[in-house]
Amino acid sequence: MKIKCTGCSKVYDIPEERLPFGEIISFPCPACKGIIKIDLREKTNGEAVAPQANSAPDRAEEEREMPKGETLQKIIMRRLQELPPMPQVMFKAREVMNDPKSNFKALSDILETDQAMATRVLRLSNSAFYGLAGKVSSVQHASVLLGYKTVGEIVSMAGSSTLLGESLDGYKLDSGDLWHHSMAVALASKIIAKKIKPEMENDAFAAGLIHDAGKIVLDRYLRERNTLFEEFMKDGEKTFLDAEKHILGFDHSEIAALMCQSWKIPNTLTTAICYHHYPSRSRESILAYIVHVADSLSLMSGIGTGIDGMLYKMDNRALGYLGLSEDKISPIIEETVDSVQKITSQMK
Amino acid sequence: MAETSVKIMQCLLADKGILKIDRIGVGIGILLYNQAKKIGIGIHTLAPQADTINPANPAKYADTAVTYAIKLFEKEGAAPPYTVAVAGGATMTGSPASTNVGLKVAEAAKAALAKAKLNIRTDQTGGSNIRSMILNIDTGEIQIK
Repeated sequence: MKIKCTGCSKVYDIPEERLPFGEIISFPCPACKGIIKIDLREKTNGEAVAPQANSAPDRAEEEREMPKGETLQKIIMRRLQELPPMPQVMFKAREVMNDPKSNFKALSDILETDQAMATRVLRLSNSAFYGLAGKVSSVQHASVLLGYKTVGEIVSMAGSSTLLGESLDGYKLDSGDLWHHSMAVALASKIIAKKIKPEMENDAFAAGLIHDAGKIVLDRYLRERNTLFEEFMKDGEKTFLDAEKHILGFDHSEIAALMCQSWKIPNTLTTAICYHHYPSRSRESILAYIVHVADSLSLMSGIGTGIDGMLYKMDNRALGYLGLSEDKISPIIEETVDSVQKITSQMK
Repeated sequence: MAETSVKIMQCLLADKGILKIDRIGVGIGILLYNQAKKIGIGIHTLAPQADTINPANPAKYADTAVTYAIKLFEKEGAAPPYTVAVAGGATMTGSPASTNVGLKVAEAAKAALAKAKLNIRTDQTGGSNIRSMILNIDTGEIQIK
């Protein structure tokens, strides 16, 4: 008998001889840990009632009973260790980008051990964005033609494509959506930093790239509480960020900050990621304002944007704080879209 | 069924199946359809006006994209009337007025269509929604979600 979990849509084929017909049974879904409830009582004609997951009101009631707030945060923190680690190569890339004296060979040695990663790096190096289409034959060659900083940036993008490339059903994001959005925010952050604080370009790029990493962790909890999230957002006026805070008691930017701590990412980046939705709470972190504006402009463009993309709020002070005038907005969006399309066209 | 997907800053012609423009935010999606030839064009433009007559990518700007699309139709031997639908030009809720890029792109697209004497049959611009447009080339049916 086929049974579908309403939380994560996974279908289980359970042998009928193992089912206790005549009863209502419930058990946790092995995939999402949500409760699957099946009515196996017999109808008057003797046929078994078709298995159905619990009704919407029952389901909502169960979801309300699920842990939230500090309790859930503690569960998440315990499970952070189960997360895929941030690829080592991304750390190395950052080191190389920030320290001209660092050893580029260490980065290329790591890449040599990861063929899939090396292939992605080569594809990106050959994208129209870097103007060397078809000319880069090896990672060493790329470092000579593009410079170690640019190769570091490419390695970060290649490394994050696996981490951020999965579909996030809880957020209604298809495979590749989060990565495209993250690329857009990374590139927009870099463009903004270049205009106002060139020395922050590399950090702006790195913070933009992983600003939404908290969504990777929270996705399973959103799927488990699908009924509550749909109910809360049904008027089409609330964002997933609003829903996270209302239903879970915290949001993905707080979880991203915990992830950054576990990945030992420097405080400046962690602060920017933690406050990318509320830069005014960051104690004047320019990087937080940069990522916030880059995130807003990327959402406006539509690249990898989810269903709630236009419902977010841009801090009224943000543009003034960064000294960005009105006439700069459109060109930043255009340059960002152009850059993302040139880079990703090589990754298909 | 064949599907032609128009990305941001692209203008594509399709002669069969479905022509789709996904995730239109502040940009404008324009669908043009010629019933006689059963061909359609999808544009996803992002900026209002080009500052040169021949920009590298005419699909990027509302004014040059419309002119480019009409030339594409003419190359295929199509002539008006064309069915025209526009969608997008959204505004991010609560964002500062200075970031209202969508409104400017929508105005420029409508001005370019008016200049080309093309009447808009369906107009879903403004608001705070990410939209998608779908044109069925066989039937000419247009859906905006």
